Amino acid sequence: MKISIKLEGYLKYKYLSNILELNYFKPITILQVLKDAKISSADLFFIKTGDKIVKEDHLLIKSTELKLFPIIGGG
Amino acid sequence: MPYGYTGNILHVNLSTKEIWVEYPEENFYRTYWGGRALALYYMLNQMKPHTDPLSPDNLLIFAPGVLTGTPAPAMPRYTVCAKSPLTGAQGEAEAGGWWGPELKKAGIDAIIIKGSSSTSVYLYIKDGKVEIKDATHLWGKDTGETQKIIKKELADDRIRIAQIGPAGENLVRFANIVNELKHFNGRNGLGAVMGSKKLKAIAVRGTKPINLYNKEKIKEISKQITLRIPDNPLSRNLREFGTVAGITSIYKAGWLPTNNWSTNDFKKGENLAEETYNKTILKKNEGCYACPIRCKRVVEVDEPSVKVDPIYGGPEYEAVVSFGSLCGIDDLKYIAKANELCNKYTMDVISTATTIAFSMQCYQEGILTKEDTEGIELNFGNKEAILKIVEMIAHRKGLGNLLAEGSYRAAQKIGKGADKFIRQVKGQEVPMHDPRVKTGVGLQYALSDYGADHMKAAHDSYFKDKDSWGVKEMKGLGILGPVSPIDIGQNKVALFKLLDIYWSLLDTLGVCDFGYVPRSVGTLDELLEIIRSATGWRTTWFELMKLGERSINMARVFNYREGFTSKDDTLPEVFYQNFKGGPLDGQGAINKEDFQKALRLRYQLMGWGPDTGIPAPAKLIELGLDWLIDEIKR
Repeated sequence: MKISIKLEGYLKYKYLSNILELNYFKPITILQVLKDAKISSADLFFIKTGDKIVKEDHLLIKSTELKLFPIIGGG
Repeated sequence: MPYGYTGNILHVNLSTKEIWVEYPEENFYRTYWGGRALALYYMLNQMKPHTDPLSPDNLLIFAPGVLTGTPAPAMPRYTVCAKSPLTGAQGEAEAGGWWGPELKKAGIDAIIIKGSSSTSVYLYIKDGKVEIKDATHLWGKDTGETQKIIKKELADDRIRIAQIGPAGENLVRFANIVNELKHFNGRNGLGAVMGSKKLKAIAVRGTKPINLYNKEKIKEISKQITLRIPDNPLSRNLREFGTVAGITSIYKAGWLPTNNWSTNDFKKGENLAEETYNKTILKKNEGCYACPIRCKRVVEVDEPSVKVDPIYGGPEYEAVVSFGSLCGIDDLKYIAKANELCNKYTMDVISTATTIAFSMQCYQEGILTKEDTEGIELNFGNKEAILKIVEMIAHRKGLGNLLAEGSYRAAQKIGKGADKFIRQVKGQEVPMHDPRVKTGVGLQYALSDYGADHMKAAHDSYFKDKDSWGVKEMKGLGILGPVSPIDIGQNKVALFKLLDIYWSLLDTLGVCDFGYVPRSVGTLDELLEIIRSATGWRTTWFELMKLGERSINMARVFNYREGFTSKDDTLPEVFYQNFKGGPLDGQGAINKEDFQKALRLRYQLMGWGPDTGIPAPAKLIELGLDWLIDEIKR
């Protein structure tokens, strides 16, 4: 299955890409996908698949697009 | 005279036209340093309890910090303090720009203004020489016109001007003070205090360098910080998009405040997003004095239906969201126009827009009628109505006269259950950050001495993970581990005690939080070395954190003296309810009991009475504030 990672906001500067793609042969947690993509959880405020906000322990069982949103401060 | 200071504190009595300069000892500076702490010293010593905020007896204090004007990133800021006509509590607002550094170069560490002039005047300060000048020809003019006239009549284009527009003159309770047309002491209605004193402006020109202990060291550190900005995503993001950078994330997460916080599901968020902003209205970005981050926006619109003049800067996050989704509006050009009007007339955008959103909900609920609004259809989403109402508030016309009192007082006057729709703490409207997803921000809203404000501490998101910027870079202050943004337990309370103190310190020193950890690129070590190099004092984080804590306790005592108690440390009811609509529908409510427990723990951690929230005498002694013990015994 193909996991596409869409980087929103300033994440695209930090990781120098808008979209990353990884392939897996069995179900995988988002946490592991982030590790494989070398994306730090510290940079993420939340993660979405479709219209749902999901946590890092969410298990991905089919091809999907993950949208990663950066932390936001005030000001 | 210690390094970093001029040694001169200017006192002006506008009733008697008396002007004199105080020359404090070094120990005074080392105890109160500048900014909010120094201002609070005078407010507690020279203002009687229960002073009417709009009377001549209120003080109006302009206080840069010891670092203001230092040639290091993000050190342009100065504090304005007075008793607030919006909250009745200690009023305070910090601004960046160029005016604070200019005041230091003109040889003044702070200005303490009392009394009230019988006719409108402005102050002109040039290299330590002070004049009270006639301003009757300026009264009623907007900020752009006033700046032009003053610069022309003083024949100096390099003068920096802090001033009020018609809203300040008309005593709008959330009127603000602006310098250089686009940098604001935004909150708490301090512009109305200036208006009540008939003080239109303070024009400043300074040509003397600030006497720093080791300027070369500061320049070296500044260079290192500046070189790292392009590689630091937080700083780079501020430069690229300014404070609106997070809007895409926020609306997609479903927590963009919408229709007076009745929902957070704004369907047209894309129209407010940072990339839309840059494509449609942005003309250029700018920075404050000596700051390489350049987060400020300048916008321009030139269309038959709406024109926005770039001299007034551009809307930041708070203005885009409060005039945008909070009022149901998705047209950035109209939002930019509403922002421009607030800047011309000097009104705080958060309070203005939130008060309008409140009136829109009252209108939709039938509490206000077309008769009340003089025929204006005050529905969410009516962008033409917003511009009319902003004008009416600034000039206190029709419904605007009621709304100029702020949403809290307006609701009391309207009655009919209107108070269900106000979103405020201590009478000040809440900013556009939802405490349900950042509980630490909620604690700060509740505890803030000057009413709900988003600039009372760093936000929770910088401490969510062990690798988060705040956790990695702030161990030196005792921040050793992460806490979830939605946690409201003891670790969150302890974290935000430290962050509150650290932020109060920045407001005392004249430092913008956009330059340093956890919000940006400068480290704690670099900041400490800049402070040492500016002052020559071998200070430590221990001394500095005590300074931050000292100012918090001074503000707490001031408010207690004015009748505020732990009952005033609250959150609007809407945050104890679940989100309605969008991805977070049906979840997110803050548990009220947990929040109360958190507040009680915070009081204990601060050395305050766990039920009363009043500083204990022992805490005041520890902070060198034993002279305030009598105040808490009254």
